[in-house]
Amino acid sequence: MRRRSFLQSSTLVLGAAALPAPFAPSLPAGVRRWLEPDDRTLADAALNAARGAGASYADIRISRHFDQSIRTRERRVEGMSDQITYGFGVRVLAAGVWGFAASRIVAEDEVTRAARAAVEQAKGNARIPHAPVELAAIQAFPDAEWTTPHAQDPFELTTGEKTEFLLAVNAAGLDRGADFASSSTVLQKQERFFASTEGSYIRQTFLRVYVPWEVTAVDRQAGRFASWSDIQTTAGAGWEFVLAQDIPARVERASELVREKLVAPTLAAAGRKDLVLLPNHLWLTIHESVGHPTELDRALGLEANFAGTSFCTPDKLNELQYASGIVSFEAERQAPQSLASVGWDDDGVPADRWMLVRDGLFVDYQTTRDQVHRIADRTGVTHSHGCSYAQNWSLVQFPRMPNINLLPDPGGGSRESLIAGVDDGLLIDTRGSFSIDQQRYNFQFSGQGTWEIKGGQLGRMLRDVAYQGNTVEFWNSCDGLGGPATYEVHGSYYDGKGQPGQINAVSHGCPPARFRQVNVLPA
Amino acid sequence: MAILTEREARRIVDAVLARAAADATLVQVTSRDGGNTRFAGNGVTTSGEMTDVALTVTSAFGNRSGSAETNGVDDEAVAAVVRRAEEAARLAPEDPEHMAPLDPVEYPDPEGYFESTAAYGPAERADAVSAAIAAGGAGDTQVAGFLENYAIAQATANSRGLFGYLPMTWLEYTNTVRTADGRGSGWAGVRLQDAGALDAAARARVAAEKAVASRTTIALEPGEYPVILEPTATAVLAGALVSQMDARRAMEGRSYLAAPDGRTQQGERLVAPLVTIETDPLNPTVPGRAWAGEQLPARSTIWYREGTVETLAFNRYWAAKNDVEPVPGPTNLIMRGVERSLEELIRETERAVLVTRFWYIRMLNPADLTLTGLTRDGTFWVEDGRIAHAVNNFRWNESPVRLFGRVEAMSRPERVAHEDWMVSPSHVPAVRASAFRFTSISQAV
Repeated sequence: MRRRSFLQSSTLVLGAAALPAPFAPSLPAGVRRWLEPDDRTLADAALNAARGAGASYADIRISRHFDQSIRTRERRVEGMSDQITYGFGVRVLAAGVWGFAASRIVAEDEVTRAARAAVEQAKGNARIPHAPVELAAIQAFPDAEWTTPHAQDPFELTTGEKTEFLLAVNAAGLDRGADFASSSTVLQKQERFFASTEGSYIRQTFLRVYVPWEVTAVDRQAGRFASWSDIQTTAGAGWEFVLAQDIPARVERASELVREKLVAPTLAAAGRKDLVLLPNHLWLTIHESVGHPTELDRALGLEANFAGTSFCTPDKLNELQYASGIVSFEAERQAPQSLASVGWDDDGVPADRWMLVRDGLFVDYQTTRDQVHRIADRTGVTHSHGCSYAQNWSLVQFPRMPNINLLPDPGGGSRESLIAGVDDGLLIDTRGSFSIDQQRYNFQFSGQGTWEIKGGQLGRMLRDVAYQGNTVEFWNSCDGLGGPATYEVHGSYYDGKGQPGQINAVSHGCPPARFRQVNVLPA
Repeated sequence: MAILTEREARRIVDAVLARAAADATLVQVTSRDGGNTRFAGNGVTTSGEMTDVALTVTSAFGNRSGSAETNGVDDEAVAAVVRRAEEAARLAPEDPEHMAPLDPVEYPDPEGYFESTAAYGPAERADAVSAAIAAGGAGDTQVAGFLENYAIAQATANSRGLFGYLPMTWLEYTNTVRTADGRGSGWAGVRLQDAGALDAAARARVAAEKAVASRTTIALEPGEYPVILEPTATAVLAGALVSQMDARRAMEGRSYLAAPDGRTQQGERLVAPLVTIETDPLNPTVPGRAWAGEQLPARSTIWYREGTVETLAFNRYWAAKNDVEPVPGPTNLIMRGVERSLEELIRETERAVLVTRFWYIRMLNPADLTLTGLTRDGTFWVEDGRIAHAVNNFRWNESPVRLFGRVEAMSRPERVAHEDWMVSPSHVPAVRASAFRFTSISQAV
């Protein structure tokens, strides 16, 4: 979790792009530096080969990915992995159809072969029915660079230092009465070089850190157990973010709460209650019920076979009252420490900031270069908002979610002021179970901790409680938002979408919020 | 490009072991080569081809171990990955649960490699996708789908001379057909080893029939109803049921297989006597992997026999601590059925909700394995032995333990396309159960 001034975040634009880029000073022995002198030469070879074979457009991504995880339980290391993968992917547009080929062998012969294979693939695909791809205009960035702002590259720490940190986290839980405690560090560094036939050459380094943990209490005689897990402590940042979260203190609190949860009653009966949702819970509700429905590729039916479509179709632009008038959602790829923040997307489009829902009204989608023209006449926006992303070099880029934030009420108060306005309700703390249908109407969420609210006061803890709702009805029932001081950002490290499946990391900022008369049930 | 041959894989393993200075070294090599074509709205959208290798080295000095992975296999890359693994091992704390490497073992040899699939390229995929669009998008319907095929070669080895090599091929095809008015949706899919067995047009026709048939629904209120789960839906819940077979979690009191006072449910009848679920790496229809975690040979294991929990999974440490043989977890899933088609099962049903597939399943309560999820892409009401009409989709909160406890009839098993929660590959029947708890209506189509 991190708090920040909303004003500070909303005024930051592309300043981060100008930061110096401290590229991997401590690569493991035998691993080449990512910024090879001949990367541009290789890129040109691929792009020329694609053009020579008949491509009207081509891009290449050469990238090296460092993925390290250490898993601990109680007082031991359960496992670790430390991956380095290096390769390239060439995407081409030929005969109006995309083609893509990727290989781990980063050499001139191979990039040339792959470029030609991608063109041949695209031309072969052209005999399948298709709508010719149209690309929105774009500015060329001939020598661009961006690095995730950070103070301490976590890959410069030894595995021993990270292990010691995790074992201290577990000890904090065990010493406070947890029967089991587990924690992990999951770290990513991606060094990416992008070049396109439109004249861009862009180097970026993304750093992401993630520290999931869980504590469990067991009553062996009764055969009962209860857990409290945190899988949202993550950011686009360095190790300094991890240290700033005071995770041991949060684990201690959870270890005490989980004892209480073990014997807590559940809800007496299903019914309607007011809800106060804390930011460490609400961010995921935003992700599922606002983030995914406003992906343009879903709305156009392009995800129909897997992730699904969306109730939020283009005919609803500027018509649908998505939420109550106090609710506005912005999308951006610029906020410091947010997971989807970049300098440029994987189409070479610079990071943007725009509104999806303004004062409750649905006004725009998340877009990419090859899809924005489908709604431009309704939004008046002809440029891509820059939502193209590929998990790694071996997979083709496609639309992925930017950071999407619920703006706080500039005159809003504290969480306590929201609670004070509830006569009979529930307060829900931290992300729990989550599920939503393939068009994003019907959802069900729960938290790690749930407390009764009676007469404006917090009451006893409950366990195994969920709320179900319909997206538009739910967001229109929102009648209270916390102020800027209550704004927090949380994130998802593993947001899955697409075929073949790809993951994306994304953050969501929000204040606590109050919702009226939502269906709740024992679950 | 092509996947590594056994000789090439062995050469990489030998190069690693020749450079290794650790007390013990484990090596995994995975080579993969394949492609995919994706389509939607009756047209192609994206496609791709990819070739890659993963070389993983785990080194141990005494009870300290570390691991590193690379996708380079030249001398420089091999030297670097060995060095990284050994550095990590030296920095690691002592692990009281560390196990010495296995001695050489005989791995099973599943038959899962088909040249027809390895050679299946973009032109073949384009033909199949064109046929699917022609078959499924002929009326006012739109087809979206995904066709992926790849060959994969895996090798596992260690410094005590253990070595295994297994090439496999896979083809996965799924498609969703939606009516142009957005009121109907149907799905079909399959996972194959032999690309020559793919009939994409037939799958598109099944999905189109479901889409058209589900365009007009009659509302059904939430509640408990008898259900028929098609094989894909069955496989998801069977996968969830066996996802928690770990003996340690059960003995620690934190899974649905836990019993009071540190005991487990092993030997107890938890589900209906019709239900037998097993793993068999040599199953000819859905061959499994040759080895599982910790380099243990995959082995035939019956998890549930006629409703009774027969076997729990033990890793090597937990097995030694409890003085039993290690049992690796499921590496494929086979649920026995009976010689009866889905259509016959429907004909023998008085009333039930027929479910094509599920969506977005998440854990609600691990103590009794209650999950939440939704129905999707073809949900129908069966009455007096026939499909009477389509019904709305539902959210459900239900436990696979309760569901399989209520199974009263099933069909013959089928191969199914992979979905979340499944153990893939799976070979499972459709099942009819006397009750399933649907908790709210989903407007989604």
